[in-house]
Amino acid sequence: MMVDATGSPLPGPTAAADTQAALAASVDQTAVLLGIPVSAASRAGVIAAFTAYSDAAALLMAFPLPVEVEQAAVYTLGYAGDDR
Amino acid sequence: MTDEPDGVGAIAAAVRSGEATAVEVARAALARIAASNDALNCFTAVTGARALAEAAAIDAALAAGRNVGPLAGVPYAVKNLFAVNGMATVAGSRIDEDRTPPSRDASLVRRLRAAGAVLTGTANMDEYAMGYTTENTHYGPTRNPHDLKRMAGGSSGGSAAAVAAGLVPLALGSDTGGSITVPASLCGAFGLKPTFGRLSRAGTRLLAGSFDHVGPFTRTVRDLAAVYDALQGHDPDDPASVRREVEPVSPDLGQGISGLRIAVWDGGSETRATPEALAAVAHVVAALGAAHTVTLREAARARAAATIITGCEAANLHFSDLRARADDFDPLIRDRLLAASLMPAAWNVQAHRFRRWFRTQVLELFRSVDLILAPATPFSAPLIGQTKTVVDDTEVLTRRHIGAFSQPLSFLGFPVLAAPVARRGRMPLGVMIIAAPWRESLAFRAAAVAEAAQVLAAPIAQRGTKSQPIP
Repeated sequence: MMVDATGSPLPGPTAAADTQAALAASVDQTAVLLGIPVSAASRAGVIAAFTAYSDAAALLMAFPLPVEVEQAAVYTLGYAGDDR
Repeated sequence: MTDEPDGVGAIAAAVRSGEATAVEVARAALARIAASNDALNCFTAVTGARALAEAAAIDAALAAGRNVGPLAGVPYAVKNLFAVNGMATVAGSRIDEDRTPPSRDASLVRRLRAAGAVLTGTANMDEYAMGYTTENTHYGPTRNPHDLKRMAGGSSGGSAAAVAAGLVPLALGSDTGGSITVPASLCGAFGLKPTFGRLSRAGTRLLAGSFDHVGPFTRTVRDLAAVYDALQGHDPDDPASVRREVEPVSPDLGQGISGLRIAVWDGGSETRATPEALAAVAHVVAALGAAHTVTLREAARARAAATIITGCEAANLHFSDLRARADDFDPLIRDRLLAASLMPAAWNVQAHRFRRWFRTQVLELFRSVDLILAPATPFSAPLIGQTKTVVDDTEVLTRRHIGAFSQPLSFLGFPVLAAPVARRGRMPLGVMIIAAPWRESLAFRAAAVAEAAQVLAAPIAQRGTKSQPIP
């Protein structure tokens, strides 16, 4: 069995193929949902890019953030008449 | 004009003293651009008529005894995502050529004009700033002025290359994940990515508003300081602009580094760099007496978070064009933008929360140090089109790995002064001098010390003399 740097088992060939198929399906379905046409010429490149984003997200989502940690994005109220 | 003044400070002094006229300086800059731009491809548009009109106005003001500002007659370029009155803000795209041109300049262009500087043109970049190489398919790659076969870095590559080649002494760029730091390093220029919120982005085309910064390139620390001081100040037109007093750094340049605690970033296995990049940093470490080592834990996860937020925000900005005319995007970014538009919200929220956590960790580091040194790029300029590079015996994707060191810092918003290490006869490499938020002055003081010791230097590139094996 292959393991990653933390000792967790890496997916075998079948699981990896399943994951890739699921990512491709996700791209196809979300593109339909959002009304974004993905041409046949672009599809493989888009799936590859989405897979890279998915890998980044896996690293991020595995991080145990305390619930007290808020988003960094800051919303501030201005004053009446200040449209910024 | 006898000998041509070189550099921001020298030009402004010569124009103010009458040793040179602003029009003479502008004509000389336009002639350099005309002579070299076909080879370098730094400029996508040259604003010759405007430059000569602005220069003539400076000369007229001087003749009338009026104050002409600290940057009198200094020719400069802006990355072509800065609004310039009457010109389409193309941001490296063909799509935005069709948009109505702005009727006024970006805020920092107005500030430079008020300071007496003279706009000579707009500079090449990665489309919508979404890259580290300035290999723009629509406008062609900007070529490294030290070796035309190599990348200038990006996304502010046209700006950095124009300064490194000596076409103009000053250019403005923008930085979302290292787009000032990276081309400064690869081209051999000084670049400043200030604290997030310090300099106004109003009138620039955003990539990802959560991280977008703007800043200058020059060839000396003193010039960088003079320009930075002229650009500072709150701007209500930029929602990220912080209400903070102007904090000039020029008066502090000679204060030295006595008492400053300077550390080196130990990237560990998360950030790989070539031996020559590490050696360049070691050179500066020795000159500044950096005695500490700090570990920036979770830098790889910070890059992941920055990548996700940048993708989400960029895709949202371009959503209607992705729906209607995806084929008009640069193929180098199109698939990434399309994929980014499909990301689940949970990833983006987690990335923003991680950013808050990461900021707390790094602020804690700055309780025990004042400055941190790190490679600005993990290697010197790769060949144009080079997709893979070997770093530390590991093959990496060139275009992504270029930002291994810079992206976590741009993600944080901490100030970074990217400084070229003196490497006579070799391709440039830069070091990042990283300070705590709002402490740009400390980075400037350290850079001034290392420059005086001739450990940092940005001589005008002698084209094609530094070819070397690919790392």
